[in-house]
Amino acid sequence: MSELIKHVVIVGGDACAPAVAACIANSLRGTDTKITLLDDMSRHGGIASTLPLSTDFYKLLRFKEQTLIAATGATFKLGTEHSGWLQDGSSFVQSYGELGVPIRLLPFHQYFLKKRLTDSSLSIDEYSLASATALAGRFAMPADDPSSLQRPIQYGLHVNHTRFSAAMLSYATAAGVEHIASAVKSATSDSGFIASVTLDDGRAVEGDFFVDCSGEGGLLIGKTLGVGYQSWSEFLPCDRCVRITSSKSQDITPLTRVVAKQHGWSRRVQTVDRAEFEYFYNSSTSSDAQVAKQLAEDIGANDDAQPEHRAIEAGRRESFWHGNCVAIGRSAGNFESLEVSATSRAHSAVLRLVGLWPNADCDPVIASEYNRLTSLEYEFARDFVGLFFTLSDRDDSDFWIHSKTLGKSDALQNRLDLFRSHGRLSWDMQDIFSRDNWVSALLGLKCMPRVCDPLVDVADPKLVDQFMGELRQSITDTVSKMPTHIDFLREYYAASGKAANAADTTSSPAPSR
Amino acid sequence: MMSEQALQDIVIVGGGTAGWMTAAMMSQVLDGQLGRIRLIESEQIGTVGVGEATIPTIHAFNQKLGIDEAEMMRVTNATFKLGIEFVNWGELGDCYLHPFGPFGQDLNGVAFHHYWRRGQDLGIDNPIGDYCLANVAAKQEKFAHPNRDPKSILSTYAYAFHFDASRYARYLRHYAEERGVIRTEGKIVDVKLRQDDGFIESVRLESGEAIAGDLFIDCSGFRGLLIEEALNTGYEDWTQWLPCDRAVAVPSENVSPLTPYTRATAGNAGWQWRIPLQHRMGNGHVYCSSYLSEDEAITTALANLEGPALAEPRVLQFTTGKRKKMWNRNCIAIGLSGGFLEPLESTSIWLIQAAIALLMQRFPDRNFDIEDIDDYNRNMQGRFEEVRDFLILHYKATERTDTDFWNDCRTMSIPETLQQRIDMFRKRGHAIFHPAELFVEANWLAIYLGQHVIPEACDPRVHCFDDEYTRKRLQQMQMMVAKTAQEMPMHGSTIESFCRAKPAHV
Repeated sequence: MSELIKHVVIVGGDACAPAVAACIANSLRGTDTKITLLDDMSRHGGIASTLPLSTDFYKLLRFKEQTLIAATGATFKLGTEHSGWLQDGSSFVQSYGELGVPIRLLPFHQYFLKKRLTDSSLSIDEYSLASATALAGRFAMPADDPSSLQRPIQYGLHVNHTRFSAAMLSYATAAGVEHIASAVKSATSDSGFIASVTLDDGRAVEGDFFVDCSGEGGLLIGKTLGVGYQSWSEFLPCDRCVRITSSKSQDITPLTRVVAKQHGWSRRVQTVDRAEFEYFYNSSTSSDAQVAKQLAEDIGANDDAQPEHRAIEAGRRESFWHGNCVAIGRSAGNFESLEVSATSRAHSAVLRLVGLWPNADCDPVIASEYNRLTSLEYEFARDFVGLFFTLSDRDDSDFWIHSKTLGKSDALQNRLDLFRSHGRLSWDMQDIFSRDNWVSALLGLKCMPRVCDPLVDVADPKLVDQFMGELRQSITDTVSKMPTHIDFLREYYAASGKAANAADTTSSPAPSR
Repeated sequence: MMSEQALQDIVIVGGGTAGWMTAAMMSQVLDGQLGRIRLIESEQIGTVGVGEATIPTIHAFNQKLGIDEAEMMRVTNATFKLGIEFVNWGELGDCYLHPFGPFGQDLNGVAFHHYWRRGQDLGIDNPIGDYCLANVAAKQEKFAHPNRDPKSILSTYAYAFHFDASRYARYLRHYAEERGVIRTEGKIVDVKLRQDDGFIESVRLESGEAIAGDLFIDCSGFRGLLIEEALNTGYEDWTQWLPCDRAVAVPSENVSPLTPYTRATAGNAGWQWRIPLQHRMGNGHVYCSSYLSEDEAITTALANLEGPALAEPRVLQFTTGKRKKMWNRNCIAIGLSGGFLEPLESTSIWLIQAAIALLMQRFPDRNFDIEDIDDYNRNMQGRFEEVRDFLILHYKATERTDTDFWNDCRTMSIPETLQQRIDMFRKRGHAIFHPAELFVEANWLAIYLGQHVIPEACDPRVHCFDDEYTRKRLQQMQMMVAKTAQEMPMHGSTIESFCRAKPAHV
């Protein structure tokens, strides 16, 4: 029988490292396993956007959501508003909520499609509580009452990444993680296993299990163990990104806002005290200066705004777990953060890792299962992003002309073919996006089925009409009773401020208009 | 307004369990608003009618139809089922249950069986079944309906039925006919294909009548009257992994109290089933003809009956595998015409149910879009392979060396995906499962642990707690299960009060 792991070394650098350390520490609490985090905490800026799945992550850590939100200046996110993808100027919301209610076990969008034949101005957003709430700039928590329309609301967060990392780091150290504030320079390996890493100051740290959160390049998994990187440049167009952060107050919408533009696409995310704008583009069709200039103009930035450029090598590691080393974060894979953020991908990965926690021999059977699950998740996410470029009808710039030449996976092709025939969706449980997420993106991007499901005709059309009318009305009514997002935040922060004062901890940033 | 492309005539060929299940569900879903449904069957041909044991997924089907459980049970002479008992599989003398419920409860985010595994190291040698209410209750011949309150331990199990499949089919026939399905008695003598695209145009009966249709459902049994004889779809043969190819079926009188479980006893070259119904015991012997003669198989079947035989033994032949395409042109094979997997895990009716459910999600119009058809076939392939792999595990995970049959099973090479699952479990006790699959962690665990595939070590997170904690939790769980089972009513008395069949039905 193999020995337990004695020493886990987490090599940081990537912004996800403290959260990874916190999660591992939580699940190994009470064992003799030593955990060391090597991270100089130099790369933790910006705003992170999380998917609802990150809630599982906080829950496992028993992190009180209210504390986390207050500590990180977070705002709520019900989904993403997309515009500019189609030449007709249409926009849509990709929300985390449910799209309507099934009728006679048939998905709601089938009835919507039929109705749309006679009224092409109809938008499915009107039948989704989350989308309607987000568009109205309002917010409310999910209801406990199972019959309430509000029950299934799901949300992600926009958080200040520096403060989020700090919260995770203090959680980790409280749970026994030793934090050494130093960067890692190099690593040594012995027959496919990492033996030790060397810090900037020359110190060597040995361990029997290593998590590579070193970011792009993958110091351990790539540079030391030689695991290759699979490029996805044939599937996804963007290889660079420019970011401008603004402390100017913005209207705080419960949405990420994405706009497809001449050079690629841009997005805006905001916490209570700052907004961040990113523009993703392709270096062979646009120059850094061109894109930075356009972004600055679009957001009306001051002349002293500092655009930060970075490269994105779209792709994934050939295997995510090799020997005694697991890559999490950008060392594992990277691609433009349309819809799925690096932060949530890392949360999902570390949850999977602790569920498969190995012994010191790092049995390859376990590694191969981890790799199988992670590959599926990465590929579904890649296909979801690819969907936007596949379905865009733009051809007005070199970027969009280049996008037309991209390939797509067989899985995505099958999905599109099936949807185009009768509006049906093939879906896998490993998919990070729900069925309704896919349907909402497909319909928003005007991928219209040739005909709707033949079974739609079974239900009495008068009753369906009446039902749809009532649903739309009750969504409108429910939304009108909700507070605006900004009012909700103000009250939420005031309540958590009281809680914080009572506990005599440091005060948190408060939202302002 | 109905689309011009809407199906008008749906023809179901064959009226066994598959045919009437399909007719009943279609009549419910289409609700008289779309298409006319016709079912052709011949009393001369008769039905196979094995597959008398079900799994809990049957409730979803019955509930969708709005079937009253007690009534259905009375009419079909049904009993309750909490699992399947496997005798002599891992080794001669072994006995374990595959129950319809989980073993223990997750503790601190770690599955219970890891604590059980740690318990083994600490000298606690209770079988895993002691921590599963369905298991303990079944062995004590107890049954009560589960409690809906998720906080109650009585909510931790599911149940299924043993029933007379021919009577179930008859019950559904009544249901379907009430909802407008037209039944035609007759034997099909010819199938006419359309010249341009090879689709089925019509079938001709012995009487000379031709019945045309847009969609044909082939429920004709093993032969595949439409899917194979008319459309030459081809068959994927899986006998290299599941070599049994014959079954002897023989009913007998009930002589002992009704057990709330199916029994599958491994023999020299196959296995025997025992399915208790209210009015009789269903028995059968599944075997491989290259290791055992028909005479020997029949002798064994008869020798092991608990009560007097109620009919002559009937021999069935089959080839394990599936049709290359379950849906070919305008024909869909549901039931034995689509494929055959031995009823070791009572999956025959579930595979029918899965096919019907998927057909309703991919319901065609007269265009018969290839995308829908391909997707249907991909999905059904996955369903069949999943069941196949789960069945193979029963044969592969054996330590028996007493016959050539078991030696060959033990040493055969198996599909790679299954091998990976077994390796993963043996190393670390992780039961890989894909959440969309029928069999979940508890199902795999039952077979692994019941057949001596024991993890080398438990999940390291179990070591976060001291051994005293583990010891105590195991003991608490076992005592709670034992106490709850003891308080449950006997299976026989639950049947008596809930669904005793009227004597006239016997």
